[in-house]
Amino acid sequence: MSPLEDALREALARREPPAGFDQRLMSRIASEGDRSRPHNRHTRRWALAAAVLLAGLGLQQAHRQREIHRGEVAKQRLVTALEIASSKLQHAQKRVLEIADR
Amino acid sequence: MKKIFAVVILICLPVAGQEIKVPAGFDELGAKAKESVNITLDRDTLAMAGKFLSGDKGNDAKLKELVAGVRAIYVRSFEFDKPNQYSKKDLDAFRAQFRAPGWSKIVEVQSKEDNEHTEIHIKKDGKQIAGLAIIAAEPEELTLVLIDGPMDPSKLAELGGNFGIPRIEMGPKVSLPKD
Repeated sequence: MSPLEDALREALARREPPAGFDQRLMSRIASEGDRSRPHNRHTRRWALAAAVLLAGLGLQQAHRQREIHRGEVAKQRLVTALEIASSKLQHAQKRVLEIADR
Repeated sequence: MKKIFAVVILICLPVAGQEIKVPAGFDELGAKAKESVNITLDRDTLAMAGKFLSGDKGNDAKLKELVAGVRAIYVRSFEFDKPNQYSKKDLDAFRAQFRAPGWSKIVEVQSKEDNEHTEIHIKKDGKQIAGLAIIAAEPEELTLVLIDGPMDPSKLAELGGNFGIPRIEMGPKVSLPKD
């Protein structure tokens, strides 16, 4: 057997893990999981809160825009209504004065 | 002389518990009219419009003061291509409602030359004017205006020159009866 084969056999030989390796490994995995979960939970909560906030602000803005539009339309209709009423009143006054001047 | 026909109706004033109504026929006139205006401003709409009137000074302040306390404003105005498109019967029915207690006709102008008829009715509540109605009828134009609530006609006429409303120069103002 060549020295190379000996070296390979030695390197690839099955070795049992040190005692307690599996417990240590599982324990570490568990501890990593415990550390990452709160982080993920907080990230998700903040993301959700931000999304709700943005959606709320968007809805509020849209509602405000609708109210502004409705108010402007109402104001314009009021002005138009009073324009018509005023012009008819003035016309009647003018007619009355014309008759009075005769 | 160019004929101008206009009718303004101020609609729906409660008269001694009786609500003034525009005959249904008038609401169908829009289809026949060359131009029409159909405005109904109820209390909520007036309140909303009021929020967009700055009450400090200027035209908005005048408007705000003028409509303070007004419950509703109704305007129907139609201009037609040809004469006699509206029903005289409907107009008479509308006019008849102002014979109810509380209402009085303060102005009636009839021009045979222009075939024009204008009436102004007011409703009194004590010394206060609690309603105003204008009917302006010409062969090709009909306008009905009804304002439910306190409204000073002289202040309404003074709006001329503001908001794009043309001011008609007419010399001294006609004093409308206060009592």
